[in-house]
Amino acid sequence: MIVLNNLVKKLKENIIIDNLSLTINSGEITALVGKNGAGKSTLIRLISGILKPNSGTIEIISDLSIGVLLGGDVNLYENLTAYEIISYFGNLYGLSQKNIDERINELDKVLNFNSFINKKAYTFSRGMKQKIALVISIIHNPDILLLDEPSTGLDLESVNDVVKFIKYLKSKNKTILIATHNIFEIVELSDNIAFLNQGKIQRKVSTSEFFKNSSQDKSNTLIQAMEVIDE
Amino acid sequence: MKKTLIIAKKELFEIFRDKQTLIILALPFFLFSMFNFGMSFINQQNVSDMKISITSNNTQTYKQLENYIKNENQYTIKQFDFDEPIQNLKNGDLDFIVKIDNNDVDIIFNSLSFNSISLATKFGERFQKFYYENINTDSNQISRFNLKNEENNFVNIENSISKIFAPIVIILLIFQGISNFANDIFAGEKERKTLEMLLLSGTKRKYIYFGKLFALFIIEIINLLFVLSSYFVSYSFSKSGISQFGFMNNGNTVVNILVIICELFILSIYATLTSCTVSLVSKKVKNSQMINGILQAVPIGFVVLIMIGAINSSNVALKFLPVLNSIVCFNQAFSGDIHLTSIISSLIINFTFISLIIKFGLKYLKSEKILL
Repeated sequence: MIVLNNLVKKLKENIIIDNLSLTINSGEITALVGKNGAGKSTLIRLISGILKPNSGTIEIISDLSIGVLLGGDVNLYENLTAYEIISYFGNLYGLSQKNIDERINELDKVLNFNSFINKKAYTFSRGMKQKIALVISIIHNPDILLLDEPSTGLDLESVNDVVKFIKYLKSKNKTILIATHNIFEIVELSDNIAFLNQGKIQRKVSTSEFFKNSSQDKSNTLIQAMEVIDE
Repeated sequence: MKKTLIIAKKELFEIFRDKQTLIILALPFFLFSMFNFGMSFINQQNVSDMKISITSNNTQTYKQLENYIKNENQYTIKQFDFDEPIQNLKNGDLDFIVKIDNNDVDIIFNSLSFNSISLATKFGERFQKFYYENINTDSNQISRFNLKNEENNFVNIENSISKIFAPIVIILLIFQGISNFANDIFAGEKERKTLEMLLLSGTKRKYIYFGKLFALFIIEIINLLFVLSSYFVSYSFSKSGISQFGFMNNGNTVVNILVIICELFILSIYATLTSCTVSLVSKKVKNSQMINGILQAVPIGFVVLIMIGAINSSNVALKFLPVLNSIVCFNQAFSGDIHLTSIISSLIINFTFISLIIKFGLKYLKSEKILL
């Protein structure tokens, strides 16, 4: 379980996260929804620990390990092969080469990257790079996953692989926070939706309850809810 | 420690897989070869507008020498006599002085002027033949031909040339070579956003810093070995071998070599640290390239100022300036001259300054500025 209490984060005098409190339960997928600039990426960086809050606390119960996939364009070490890049991060996480190879075999069944594992990264498409970034984020088998817009900018086939990957994580009972604009990921995969606006969680609701009365157009329901929050 | 080595290993692996690396490491050999080619070309050129002063205690010898120079169609003499030849030589109003005193022939040049050294050498080679054929025809009496600097000290002429140019080229290559690799090491990772992935791996930032620094330092040492071996190889082929160097010609060869190695080691650490720190604080590779380019000009400019005499290398204040005091010690040791107090102050001041740069780098990497 992750408990965020009254988090505040300022960047160059701008308040990005404003007195934010949120609880993410173990084994659940929470979709973090909000417009661009709402503070989703900053919140993920705060929970991951690479940014420090100005005030407030972040409690991760039982000292669980975290895996993070950052948003935006994915870039890798261009002169290294996918195998070398994965091994590099695996080694930094303290895994032996044998453990890394076992994890690669296991994750290949979900993400299907074996065909290009020995190719250098400069030859990769956006989707191929995203698959390797997903493998890196979970190579050490973390309990908590923070995913920042994992399917943004991908083609349909790659989006499908990402969805398959999140389902696989769910089957392993991982705790996941996913910042997303993808209605499919929100409706089909998440247990809860947290609406973020101007650095504050405006509303947290269970996904089934939120869409209970929306018969057809679920994305319209979501947009309307965000507009209400905006006002 | 293990994570430091993992990071260093990956950096080295990535750098050596890049074909550009081999080109950069091979660059010194081409530069020194071109330099030697240029030098031999200069020596073959005809000379014009020479300004010479001749002094002799023998009027007849003076006349013979004057006629020789006037009749040599290789030279165009602009001026002969000067009242204060040494002062005029130092001011650049004279190219060299010929002084004949009984059986001694001194050709005195300005050691800070490449033109003066080159003309004096060329004249010395030709005049020696004329002297034995026309002036000193007694085969039992051998005259001494001496090349001297403006301080009336005996000097190896080729050592003087290498003394002027070699430190500039060596220091340029030490600073320039490593910055090519350093620009990418932090700024490149920031631009690609792989640095965030690295920070998220839970690796302590000091391991990341020292891992990258260690890899760069190994590359710098390899670069340095390439620079020095290229220098020695190209000179050995083109001239009279390594015995020409000042530090090989005096009695303290081993001490001189140790000082040279020590100062080059310090300069290599500086080159690595400064280029790495610039990369660390730069958001983009092109910014890092620009700042590193400007920083490289500082030591090079400094050596040039010493060379043209604008800065006196024996100035006490220089002993307290980091990097520059190391360059002075290197320059002196390269010419076969060592000053123990300068070397000790250089070691103390530089290692203090180096530890401050490392402290700054670590602090910066641990701050959020690295992500902004």
